[in-house]
Amino acid sequence: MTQIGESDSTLASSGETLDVDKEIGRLRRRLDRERLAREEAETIAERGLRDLYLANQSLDGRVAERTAELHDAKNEVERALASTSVFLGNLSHDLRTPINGIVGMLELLSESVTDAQHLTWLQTATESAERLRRLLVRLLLYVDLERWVEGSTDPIDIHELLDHVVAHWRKPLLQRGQVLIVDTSSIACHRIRVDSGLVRHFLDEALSNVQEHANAGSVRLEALVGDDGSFELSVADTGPGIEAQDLKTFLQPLRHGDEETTRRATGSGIGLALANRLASVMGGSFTIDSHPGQPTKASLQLPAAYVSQLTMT
Amino acid sequence: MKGVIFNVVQEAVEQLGGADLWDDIVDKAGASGAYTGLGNYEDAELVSLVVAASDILDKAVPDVLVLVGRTALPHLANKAPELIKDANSPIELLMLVNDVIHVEVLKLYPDSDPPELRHKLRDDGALLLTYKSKRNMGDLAEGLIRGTGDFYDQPVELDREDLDDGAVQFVVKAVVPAS
Repeated sequence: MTQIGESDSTLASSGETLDVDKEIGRLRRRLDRERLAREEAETIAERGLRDLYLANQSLDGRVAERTAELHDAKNEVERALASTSVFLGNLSHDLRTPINGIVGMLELLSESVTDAQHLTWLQTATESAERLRRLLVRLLLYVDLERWVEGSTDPIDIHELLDHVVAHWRKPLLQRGQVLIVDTSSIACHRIRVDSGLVRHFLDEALSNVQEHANAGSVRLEALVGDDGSFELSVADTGPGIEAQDLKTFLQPLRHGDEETTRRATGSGIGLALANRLASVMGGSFTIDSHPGQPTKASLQLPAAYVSQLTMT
Repeated sequence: MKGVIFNVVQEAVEQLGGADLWDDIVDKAGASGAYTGLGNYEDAELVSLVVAASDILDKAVPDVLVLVGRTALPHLANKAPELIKDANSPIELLMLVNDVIHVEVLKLYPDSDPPELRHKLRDDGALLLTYKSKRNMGDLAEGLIRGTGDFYDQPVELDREDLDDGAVQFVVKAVVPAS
């Protein structure tokens, strides 16, 4: 019995050993599978990372290439713009000399011509030549302003400047049935620090625009100094006003509004664009308040930093 | 087929019959049994595993695929919670499969080849799903669709029609609980 029992126990023990071995084998295979899967995952991940790195490298190269291309394109455009400006400038200079010759000769001629019909023709020729000369001066100024280096801003007597402007414009405006009214009543000082040349150009453009395009009636030139020391010059006419979409194109050089406007008026299309550039060169802003059928008000606003009231009256 | 499918099939099998069942299936199939979610494996390897399971469990192959698919779906869904965060029901989830989930899978694994699962929501609220794949695993698809009901704990009713071109058309309806 003991032997049988022993034998039983041996059998049971060897059976358990078998189970344990089987279990160990199973766990080992499981472990091997997990290890294999992990190694494969690592290989795939490493390959992915390497591909990503290489893709990044080539991307860096492409970005650098594109940046260089853009840089070249920008330089090319800048060169083209600069050469256009130089060309326009040279052309204006070259044209000015013969035109001055024509204007001079026409003046001489007017002293000797007595026939009424010839005088009328001569007057038309003189006006046309003068118009052309003025267009060239403005074109030249427009080009020059592109490379403007800040000019003199010595304090000037604003009343004196406005007197000069009025003296120049009163008569030409009257010929168009326009009466120039100047209002400086709200300026409590005489001297203002502005570039008088540029301000004068600005007013010339604004008034020339009125003369060419506005209805007969009053033209109001007003100067204002704000509480914050800012300075505003405005020119207001009595109409006929400008369409909103035309305003945008007027601020571009050498453009006109609608065809009807072009037929009605004979301006070069540079005036308001020039006024706009003048304002911007002076560090200020240019605004036009206008609606069709209403008065138009063109204003130059200069910031307080640019304008300082020097001598109080 | 993507390794992630092998992974969730393993998880499903282990959930159903423990880790030993998976060992037995792998041994019987003579498969490597080593699968990483990052890898791609032969479709035939999955087939051999399913055939082995069918043998061991004494169940028909289609039944095994449906059962495994159904059990695997929640495991699969839990692997990409950000992709399905906008879905709150089986039908909403199934509508994301083709247009969102498989699109993202292709971004991550350009060499993968997910099945086409076109969907159309019918006026009665049922979803018409057309499964098409060169693998012809309509049974696995059926199981996965059934699994969406388990995942949201919102039972679904499923009609299935096998089309001539190997595609399978399913009509999925949400079961309105009896009040």
